[in-house]
Parts: sequence; structure tokens; C-alpha cells
Amino acid sequence: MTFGFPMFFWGLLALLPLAAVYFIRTRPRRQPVNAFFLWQQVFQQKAASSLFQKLRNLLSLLLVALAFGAAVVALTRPRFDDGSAPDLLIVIDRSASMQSVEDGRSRIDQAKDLARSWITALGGSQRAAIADVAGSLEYRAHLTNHARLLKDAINGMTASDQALDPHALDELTLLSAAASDGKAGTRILFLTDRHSSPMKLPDGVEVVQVGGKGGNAGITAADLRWDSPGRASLFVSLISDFPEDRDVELELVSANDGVLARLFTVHLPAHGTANESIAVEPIEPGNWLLRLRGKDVFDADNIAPLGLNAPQPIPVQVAAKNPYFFQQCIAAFSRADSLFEPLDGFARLSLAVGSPPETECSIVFAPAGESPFWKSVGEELPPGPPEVMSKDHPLIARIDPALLGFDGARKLTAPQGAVVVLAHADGTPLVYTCSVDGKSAVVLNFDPSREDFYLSPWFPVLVHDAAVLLTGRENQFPSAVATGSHVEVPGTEDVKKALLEMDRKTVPVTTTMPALIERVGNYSFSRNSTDWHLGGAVFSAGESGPAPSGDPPPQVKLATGWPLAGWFLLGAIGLVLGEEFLYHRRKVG
Amino acid sequence: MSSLTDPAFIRQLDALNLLARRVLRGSLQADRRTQRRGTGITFADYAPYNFGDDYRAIDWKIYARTEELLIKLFEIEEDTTVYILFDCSRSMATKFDYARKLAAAIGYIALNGMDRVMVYGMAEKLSTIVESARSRSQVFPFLRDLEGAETFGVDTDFSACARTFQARKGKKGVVLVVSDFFFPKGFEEGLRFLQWSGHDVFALQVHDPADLECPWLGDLEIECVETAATQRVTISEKESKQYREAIAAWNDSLKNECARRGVGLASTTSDVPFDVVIQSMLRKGGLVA
Repeated sequence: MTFGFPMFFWGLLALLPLAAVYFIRTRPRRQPVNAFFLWQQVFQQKAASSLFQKLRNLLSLLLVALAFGAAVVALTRPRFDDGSAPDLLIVIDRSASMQSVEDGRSRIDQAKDLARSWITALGGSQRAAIADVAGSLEYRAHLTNHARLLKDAINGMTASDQALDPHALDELTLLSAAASDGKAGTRILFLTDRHSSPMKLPDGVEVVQVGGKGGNAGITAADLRWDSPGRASLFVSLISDFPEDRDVELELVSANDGVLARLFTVHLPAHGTANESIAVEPIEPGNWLLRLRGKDVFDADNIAPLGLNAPQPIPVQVAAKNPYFFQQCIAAFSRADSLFEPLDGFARLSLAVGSPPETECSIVFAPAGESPFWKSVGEELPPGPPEVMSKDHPLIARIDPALLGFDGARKLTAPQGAVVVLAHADGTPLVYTCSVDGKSAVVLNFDPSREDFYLSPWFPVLVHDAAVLLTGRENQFPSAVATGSHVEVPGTEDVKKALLEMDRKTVPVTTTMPALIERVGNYSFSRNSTDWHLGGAVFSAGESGPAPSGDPPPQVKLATGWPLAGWFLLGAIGLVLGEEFLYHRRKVG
Repeated sequence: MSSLTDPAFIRQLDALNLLARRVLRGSLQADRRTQRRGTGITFADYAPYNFGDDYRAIDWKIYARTEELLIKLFEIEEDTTVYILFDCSRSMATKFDYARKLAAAIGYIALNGMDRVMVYGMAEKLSTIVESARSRSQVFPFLRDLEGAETFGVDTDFSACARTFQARKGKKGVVLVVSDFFFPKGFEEGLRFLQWSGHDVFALQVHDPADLECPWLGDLEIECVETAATQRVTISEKESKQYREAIAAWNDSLKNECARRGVGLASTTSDVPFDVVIQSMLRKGGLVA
């Protein structure tokens, strides 16, 4: 046994005056009595305990001395080890799956209990630090031996709605490497349920498993998109941690009024996944909730809030001598996914042949005349295969440039800052994008009326992709994202409204963009006079699915419960109470 | 200590004496009635005539009717000696003044009834407090002598005192024992001896209320007020209760002993006004009647 503060043993010298004071204190008071012989009768029966009566004062002194000695030993902070125990870094997993409730207690509470027990066992003679991890590693308390601070840090933790980032603990690599080399005396303990995406822990991190018995099914992905006006497609992906197959019911309800829109059943194989896609009709824009019915250990992944935003077609006009094919193309995309809204007057987007009108965005075929989007239109170029100047550009993501003839292309010069996607062999740009004076354009340097290009499948594809690129709709606003994601709400103005609806309560959230989707719930944003709906859900197969197979982590050896000093102190209190009992008896019988 | 010759106290005694006169309805001469039959004027009973009886007492009218010789018996009216055996041991210290007032009241009434009063102090031996007093003129000397009495001795020996008393005084009378009756050697033998000697014995037990309770708890060194003996004890509620039970048992044994022997007993505590006690005793009769 070692002692942290052996100088406290000098305190035992105080026993000498204590004994002197004690003997003075215990002298009984004298009481004259008239019927002494009757008192003698009363106490004749107690002759058997007279020895105890005589020794009682000595016993009291002994108790006091023992209590004092135990208190002194407690002050010296005795330990069974050699006193060179390393510092502790206790990292608690507070990812979404730690909300799971097993045996009436959540996993995060079990982890906190265990961590508190370790802190108690340290007894203030060993330092520890507290951190938690979900999306990232957060330090709650830095290295200290102040048990109260450490426990307060633990008490302040709550499980998040986010999945555990597999790389969140990577920053511990240096610390753990130093510890394994013996350079730093820090022991890293990771309290987790091991329900997460596969992750490689830094060497030296000791895993302590909390809970994790399983018995869960959850939604790992969901999407709700318009098929046509008044009709949407719902896609859902599920995962099961149950050891047997089961049919589960899902319901799609309005988050605003709770009206049930669809109820359907999905077959979930044991320890497997299932996907389902169904049509929902009729359906209105707004916030929706997809719920997985039934009980399991983890509730948060049984719900997938979804947003269905009102269609926002692009106002488009045609500026071509022969507008027929353009009009047919616009009509087709207007019917299919409400991409376009044809306008005769001023529109946001124009489809032009030759010189474009004054619109915000333009898709220009066969450039001719004067335009800020090109210079020096010259003679026609000889045919030849194009060269790809910008690989993986969204304009050519769905076409094969080698199949395009670029008949009627002319020699010209793109403006400063243009992004050339395809170019002729002599360097003349054939397909490029540019922005001049706040206006954007996709210039397609060939004549679409030649070689029956209007009738080729590449015509609508190019029009669609160019329109999406110019209007900023290449990444459509999602219906739902996983918690921990950042979302940029379309628009240029400040966000007027940012609300989170959860459990029928509405709370404001950050209005800075991109917005962090931190919790499970329906989000509503208002920007540029347009409302946007979005769902935040757990969406993590690692959190909802089974724990990684393989051997469980080795048992971590760490003392729990009261430190040795605490037991000595408790013993001292017990002895003092015993002596107080005797003292009380002496004073008041 | 209040004086026994204080005018206010004397007035209290006078009031008690008037009450006694009313209760007793006696004459000036020897008010006390005895159980002995003799030649007084108050008819008591008939008895068969025996040789040697006074033939003047034969009731001839009864003989004429029944031809049986019967004599009339009359109550003797005589002056009586009232002996007050006053406990002067140190255990009486806390109620000595009170007990002295009781003795003074009884002696005052007796002197006014033309009885003879003698007072003795008891401790481990007998001492004389009032040698002999008779008639009203002796009231103040009687009270002054009684007032001069003090506690003495180390341990009360009631039996020894009773024997000494009988050795000194052969004349039968009324013996009033005023004491707390905390006699370590017991009271039975003393009472029995006094009664055997032919006295009419009465016991007047006086307690300090504190004697009946145990208000102190905890570690104590109890000390006998008479012998100065000490003992270290721890008194809890249990021991306190046992003491109360012991006191009650002791008093019950005194009550039973007196009842068995036909000894009149009155018990009181020093917090009861002494005149109330005397009035109660007068109304119950027996002791001063």
C-alpha cells in the first residue's frame, strides 16, 4: 500500500491531547439522593455489566482514537497500487444509438454511471479528462483530479441524434501513440455500444462496451419526390438487428395535422436490409413523417421526417426562328417534373438560336451576331471530334461527346472566365459556360437544325442539363438528410425563418447557411420568399443495425466505487457515531 | 425556613384547631376517646358480671326482665399522651420544614385538646426534642423546641429508635411517626414493636416529589445524603423506570404493612399545603380524633 500524502501521519500526535481532554470530559456529575438503598437495589441487577461500565470510558477513548486514526489515514490517500497510475481520458460515445433503452436505462446513462464510478474510485489522487464523441470529439473537462468538475461534465452529457463519425477519434492517434510508447501517461477509455459504422480505432484506445443487446429495426434512408403534380414517390430503406424475419408496418403521416397518407408493410429479413418504393397520391407539399411502427430498443431511428417542397418551375422563353422543337422540349419537361414553365414575355431562362434575349440565363445554339457571351464569330469550322476540356462537367455527364457532330460550328472566342467543356481541335470552344455582367449562358457552338439534331436524344438532354446548371438546380433540395449534415437553402437573401418541428413543438434553429441539421425533426426554412421543407433523420445503418461481429473488446480493468480513503473516512464516521452513542448514553442515559 | 411561631402560621393552626373541635365535638377535658372501657359517663356496652366487678354497675332492670346479671360499661375519658416520633435523618432535609409544620399542627391541636405531647427525633438513635408539654400555655415552648430541631445522624435505624422509645416511656399513648420511611433496614420491625407496646400507632409519610421521580439521566455519581456513600451509574429511561417502580413497591409495602397491622397511614408530598393535609386527616378521622 502506498500513501499519497504520508505527512498527514503526523496528525496522529494529536491523539495525546485528545486523550487528556477526553478523560477530563468524561467525569460524571454528582447527584445526592435520599433513597440510596433503592438505587442500589436497581443496580444490583446490573452487576453483570459492571465490567462494561468500568471499561466504557476506555472503550469510548479507543473508538475516538480509532476514528481519528482512520481519518488521518484517509487524508493520506492510501492506494493499493504503487501510485504511478496514468491519467485517464474517458471518451463517451453519445451517438444516436446511445439513446437505446435496455433494462429500463438508456445506454448513455449506463455509460455515465460507469464513468462516474471510475471518477469516484480515483479519489482525487489521479487525474482524468472527459470527452464525448458523435459527429466530432468534444472535450468536456480537461485533465484534473477535481472529481466534482469531472462528474459535472459527465452529468451534462446527453445522447445526440447524430451517427458516430468513424473518423472522429482519429485525432487521438497521436495521444494514444505517445501512451503506447510510454511517453505520456494517459490511458484512453472509450465507452460505446459499438453500434456505429465500421471504424478503425487508434491503437491504445481501450473499448468498454455498454449495452448493445440489439433488438432493433430502423430507417436508414428515405426520400419523397414529385412524380407529377399531386403524385410523389416514397422511397425507404430499412435495416434489422432482430435475429428473426419480421414484417414491419410503416406509415406516412402529415407532420402538420397527423393525417395518415399511406400505411404499408415491408418484409425485413433477420439481420438484413429491405428497400421499398411506393407511390403516394394525392399528396400536398409540406412536412411529412415516415414512421416505423412497433417497439424496439432504439426509438429515434423509427422515424424519418420528410419534406416535400412545392414544384418551382423555371420560367423559360424561346428566341428562335423555328421554335417548334424547343417548345416541344419545354412542354415535355414541364409535364414530367415541372422543370419548365413556358412564358411568352420576360422569363428567367431563354432558349435561343443565334443571339440571345436579355434574360438572366441563356442557352444559346449557333451563336451569331454581337453578344457579350462571345467575340469574333468567324468562318465555319471543319468537322472533327471534340476534345474534352473539362472532364466530369455536368453538361456532359449524360452524353457521349464523340457522338456529337458539331455541324455548323464557327470560329469564335469565349469571354474571359468562360469554362470550356468541349473544344475543336484548333482550340475553338464548342461547348462552354460563361457569366458576364450578372448574366449566365451555356453556349453550344453548332447548328441544331443540321443532321437532325433536334430529333436526336441528345437535344433534350443537353437542354435539361444546361437549364439545371444555369438555374442552380443541379443539386435538387433534398427531402431528408442524415443528422449532422449541412444544407444550403436555395436563394441569395438572408434566411427569414428557420424552424425545427419535433414532437409537435417548434423551436428556432440557426439561420446561417449552410445550416447544420443536428436533431431529428422537420425543418422549415424561408428564403427569397420561398418556403423550403426538409427532414432530419438518423439514417445510419451502423447506428440502427447490428453491432460489428467478432470478438467483444477485452475486459477493462479499472477500479470502481469508493476509493480506499473513502472507506477509511466512512469507518471513521461510523466509529465517531458509535462513540457519540456511548457519549449520548453517558449524558442522557 | 419559615418560623413556627410566626403569627400567620399560628393563625393557620388556630383555624385547624377550630376545625378539629367541630369535628370532634368533645369536651374540654380529655377529648380523646379510647377503646378501653371504664367508668366514664358515656355508655358503651353490656358485659356479663364477674366476681370482683363493681356491683354498682349491675343493670337491675335487665336482671328483672331476664334474671341475668349484666353490668354497664362506659367509655373512659382520659387525657392522652401524644408521642411524635420525628424523623431527623438527613434524608428528610429536603422536606424537613414541611414535616415540622405537620408535627406542629398535630401537636397544637393535641395541646388544645388538653393532651400531653412529647416529640422525639429519630436518626441512628433517638433524641428528645420536646420533653413534655400539656395545656395551651405550653404551645409556644412546644413550637420553639420543635423549631430548634435539626437533622442529625448518618443512617436511620427505626427499630433501634422504637426500642429506645419504649424503654424510656412506659405509658401508652398515641404514637405518630412522621418520616419518609426510607429506612434501609426496613420499617416493619419498628412498627411491630411500637404496636406490641400497646400504643395507638399512626404513620405520616412525607415525600419530596423529587424522591418519587428520576429527573436526571446519563452518567452520574449518586451520593447517599445520609452516609455519603457513592456509586457511579448510568441512568437511562430503563433505570429511571425501575427506580420509580422500586419507590412504588416500597410505598406499597408500607401501605400493606400498615393495613395488616391496623396502623393508620397518611402519605403526602411536600408540595401539598400542610393545612390541606391536616384537614384531610381530620375529616377522615382516626389520627387526631
